[in-house]
Amino acid sequence: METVIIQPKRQKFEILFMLISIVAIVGVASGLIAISKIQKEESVKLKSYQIDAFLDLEGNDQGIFTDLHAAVRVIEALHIEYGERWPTVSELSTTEQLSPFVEDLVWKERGKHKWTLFNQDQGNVHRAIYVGKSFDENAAGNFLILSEHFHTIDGSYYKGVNKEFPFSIWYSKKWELPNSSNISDGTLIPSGWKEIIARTGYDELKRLGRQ
Amino acid sequence: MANGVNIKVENLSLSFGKNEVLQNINFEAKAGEIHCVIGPNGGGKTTFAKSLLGQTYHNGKITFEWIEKRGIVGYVPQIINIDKTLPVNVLDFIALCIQKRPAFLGVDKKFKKQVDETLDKLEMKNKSKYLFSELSGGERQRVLFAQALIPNPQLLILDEPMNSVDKSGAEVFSRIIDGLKQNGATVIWIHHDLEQVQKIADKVSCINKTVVFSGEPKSVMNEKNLLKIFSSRQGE
Ligand SMILES: Nc1ncnc2c1ncn2[C@@H]1O[C@H](COP(=O)(O)OP(=O)(O)OP(=O)(O)O)[C@@H](O)[C@H]1O
Ligand SMILES: [Mg+2]
Repeated sequence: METVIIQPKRQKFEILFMLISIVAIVGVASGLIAISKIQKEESVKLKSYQIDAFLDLEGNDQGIFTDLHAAVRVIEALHIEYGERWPTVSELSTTEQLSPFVEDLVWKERGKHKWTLFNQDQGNVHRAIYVGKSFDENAAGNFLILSEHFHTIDGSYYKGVNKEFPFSIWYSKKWELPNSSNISDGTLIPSGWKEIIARTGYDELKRLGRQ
Repeated sequence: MANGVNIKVENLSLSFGKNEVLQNINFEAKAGEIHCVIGPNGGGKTTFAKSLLGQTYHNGKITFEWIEKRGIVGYVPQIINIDKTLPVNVLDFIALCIQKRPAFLGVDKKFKKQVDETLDKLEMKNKSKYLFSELSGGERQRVLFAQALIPNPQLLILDEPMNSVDKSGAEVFSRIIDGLKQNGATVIWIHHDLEQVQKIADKVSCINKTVVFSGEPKSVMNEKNLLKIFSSRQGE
C-alpha cells in the first residue's frame, strides 16, 4: 500500500500534469469550433424566441450564461445595497470582482466581452440593461441582461414587471442591438436575440419519467 | 492485478478570487467502484476533478491510498471544442499524450499495440490517420478517451461534456469503464445523464459548491434530491 497526499499546485511541474496541460492547451489555444450536435429530445417546450441553456449553448457561451445566471441575483442584491441604484459595469468588474464582468484570464478566453449599462429607471419601475458585446465572436456570442422590477409604496416588496421573474438573459450570435432607449422583448426578438432558458429540476424529473 | 486507489477528500475548499467555488467538500471513493459526480453547470465538478489531480490551489486534505503501489492516473478532460485546423492526426495526438507519461518512456513498441487495440475497441481504428479537423465532436471525444486508457489506468477521471458523446460512443465508453472496474480500478465519472448514472454508478455524489448528497444511486437519487440539484429559474 502506498499513501500519497495530493498537494495543491506549485511551480514544480510534474510530468503527468504536463500531459494534462498539453491536452488542455491544445483545446483552448487552438480555438473553437461548433461540434456536430447530437439530437436530443427537448425536455421543455420552448417558444420560438427561446433557447435551452444546456442543449443549445456550448463551450464558452454556456460558461458565460452560467455566470450571468448567478450574477443577475448578485446585481439585484447590489441594487438594494447601493440604495436602489444599479451597479455600474466597473463596480461589477472591479469592486465586486463578479464574473463574467471581471476581466480575468477566463474573460479573455471567453471573448473579452465589453459590457455597457443602460439605466432606464422610471418612477418606481427600475429597469437596467447590461449588454455584453463579444470582442471575438468565434469564442462566444453576445449577451444581454434585462433586469426589471417595481417597488410598492412601502418600498420593500418588488417583483418583475412583465414576467414571473424580475430578469431575463438574452443571447445573439451576431451583433445587432435595437436602439438603446427601446430595448425590450418586442425589439430584441426581431433583431435575432434569443432568450436563454435554464433547465429546472422539474424538467430533469420529466426526462426520467418520474412526473 | 488489482491495484486501485481509495480516495479521501477532507474539507476541500477553493476560491477563484472572491468567488468560492468549492466549500468544505468531503468525499470518498473506493477501489473497484464507479463513483459518478453530478451537479448543475458551474457547480464546481471540473474544478473538483482538477483538485484531485493537484491542478488547483486548494485548501483541505486529499489522500490517495493506493492498494498496491502508486498507479497510473487517466484523465479525460472536458473539452467541448477543439480547433478544426489542429494539424495532428489521431495517432500522433495519442502518441504525444502518452509519451509524457512516466511509465511509458521508451517503450514505444509495446504501446503501439495497445493504441491499436484501444482505437479498435472505440471503433476508431479506421480513422487513426484522420486529422482532428476530419472528426466529429463525438469522435474527438473518443480520442480524448483513448489517450486516457493507455497505459491501463488504475484511476480514471472522466469529465464528460454535456453534449458531445453520441449514443453508441456512450455504450462503448461504458463497456470499457466496466472492464477497468472489474480490474479493481477506481473510476470517477463526471456525468450529465442522470438516467445513465442510475444504471452504472456504484456511488453518486452531487456537487454544487459543496456536497449536496452522496450515496448509492438507489437511495439518494430521489425526487427531493433531484429537484435540489438543478437550479430552477428562481434560484432556490
Ligand atoms: N480558472 C478559473 N478562474 C476563475 N473562475 C473559474 C475558473 N475555473 C472555473 N471557474 C468558475 O468556477 C465555477 C465552477 O466551475 P466548474 O467548471 O468547476 O463547474 P462544472 O460543475 O464543471 O460545470 P459544467 O457542468 O458546466 O462543466 C464557475 O463559476 C466557473 O466560472
Ligand atoms: Mg465542468
